[in-house]
Amino acid sequence: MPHTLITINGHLEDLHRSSQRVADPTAPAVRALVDDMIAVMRAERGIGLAAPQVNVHQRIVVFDIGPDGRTARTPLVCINPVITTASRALVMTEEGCLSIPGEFVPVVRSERVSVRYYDTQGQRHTIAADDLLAVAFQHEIDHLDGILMTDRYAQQSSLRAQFHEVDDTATTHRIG
Amino acid sequence: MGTGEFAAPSLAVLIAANYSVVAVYTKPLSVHGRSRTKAVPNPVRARAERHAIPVHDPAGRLSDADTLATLRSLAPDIIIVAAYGNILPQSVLDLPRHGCVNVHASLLPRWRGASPIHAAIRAGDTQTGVTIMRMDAGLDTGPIIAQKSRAITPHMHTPELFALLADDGARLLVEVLPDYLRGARVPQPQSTHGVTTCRTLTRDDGHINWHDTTQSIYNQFRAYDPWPGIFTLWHRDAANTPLRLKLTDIRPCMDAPRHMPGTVFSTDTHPLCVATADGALVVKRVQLQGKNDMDARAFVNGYPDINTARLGEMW
Ligand SMILES: [Zn+2]
Repeated sequence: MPHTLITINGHLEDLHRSSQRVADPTAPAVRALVDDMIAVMRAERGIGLAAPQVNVHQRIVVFDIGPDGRTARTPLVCINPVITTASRALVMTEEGCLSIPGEFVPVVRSERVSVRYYDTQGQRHTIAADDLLAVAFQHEIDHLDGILMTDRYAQQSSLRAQFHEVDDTATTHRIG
Repeated sequence: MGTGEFAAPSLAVLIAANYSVVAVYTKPLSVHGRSRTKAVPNPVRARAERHAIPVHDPAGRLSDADTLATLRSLAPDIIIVAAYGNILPQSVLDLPRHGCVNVHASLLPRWRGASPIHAAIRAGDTQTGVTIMRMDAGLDTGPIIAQKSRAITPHMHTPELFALLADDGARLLVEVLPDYLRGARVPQPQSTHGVTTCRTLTRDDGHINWHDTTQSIYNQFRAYDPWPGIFTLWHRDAANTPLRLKLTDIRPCMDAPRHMPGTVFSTDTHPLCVATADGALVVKRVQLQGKNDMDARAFVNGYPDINTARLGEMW
């Protein structure tokens, strides 16, 4: 049975669980899960999706966005992603989440991150992401640790205050 | 053959069980850094000398002609190896009638290599143990004579586990040695599944990644106590190089506020907490580079700007 999207309506506890490392990134089951995740992400018009959003608690995220911040022709698939460096410079983005339908909240994140991950061939990569992809990585990796954008929002009132003057430039994205 | 606290119990039980220990091989006295006067005491050497057993500490390789000739002249029936820190050449492995037998501090084939105790705690293993193994030319790949497991409890640190396993290894060694020497216990090949390896630690293994989970960073702390310890970088001001801040005592805090990883904050009861990927760590003691180890509250009072810091490797 294909994997389907879960939301906080009925699945809040599942979304707050943390996910396990993938033992073998090349396993056929991983490939099948990734295909389902990409299909769900595209059907829901998100730019990223984490495995726990289809109720599978494995450390896998997919993106429909390239390193240049624009929609990628081939989705980016990251297994066991780890943020290794984050910028001290911060950005605030209006984030949306496929698992929290209809909500958009401003979340403060690092402007740039570097991320180490494995692909489905088991090859290790390191990517330096900025702009929307950097924010999307932080949003999706949070899902792997059982953290939602609303959990971040709830703790950031003082951080947000630093951004009030530039509120106009905040952009809105349905990240996933 | 062995060095340090891990080998000492094995030597002690062999002596107590009246095995004729004809010689002890250990590493040369190590000289640390520039202070040549500060030799690290070697409990194996001390115990051997107390029992009037000749101690050899060849500086070169065991396969060197002179060293090998000396070893051959001792005509050992068996060589017991524990934390010796040198690879044994084939010429030595073949020398004793019963081969070379190693006391290794993990359940092989998990954690082959130089730092099995640290590796098990770092990985969050809840069980480890000791293996008595007939050595072959590979790195901890020889067939297994006996194994005994031991639980790693959630707050156990390396020194405690180290002492327990050294003791377990010694007990298991004397327990199985008579059967092994009689040929009643045939070494069994290691499983080809579940193989993991570990390498010699470096100071950078203690570098904290705050995007790691609370449990994982706590495991890193338990594993690398007392050396290399764990540290983070504090970019105190943009112009200067970041300061190294060693965290000398920490506790996990699971249901913490969701701050960005690396963010420093305080609570009513804890003056110094740092956010991780999924929670936070309570810092009890710290040591800023060039300063003494101090209580978290004293540190926060002395360096109040820590309260607005974001720690870690950053651009
Ligand atoms: Zn989301």
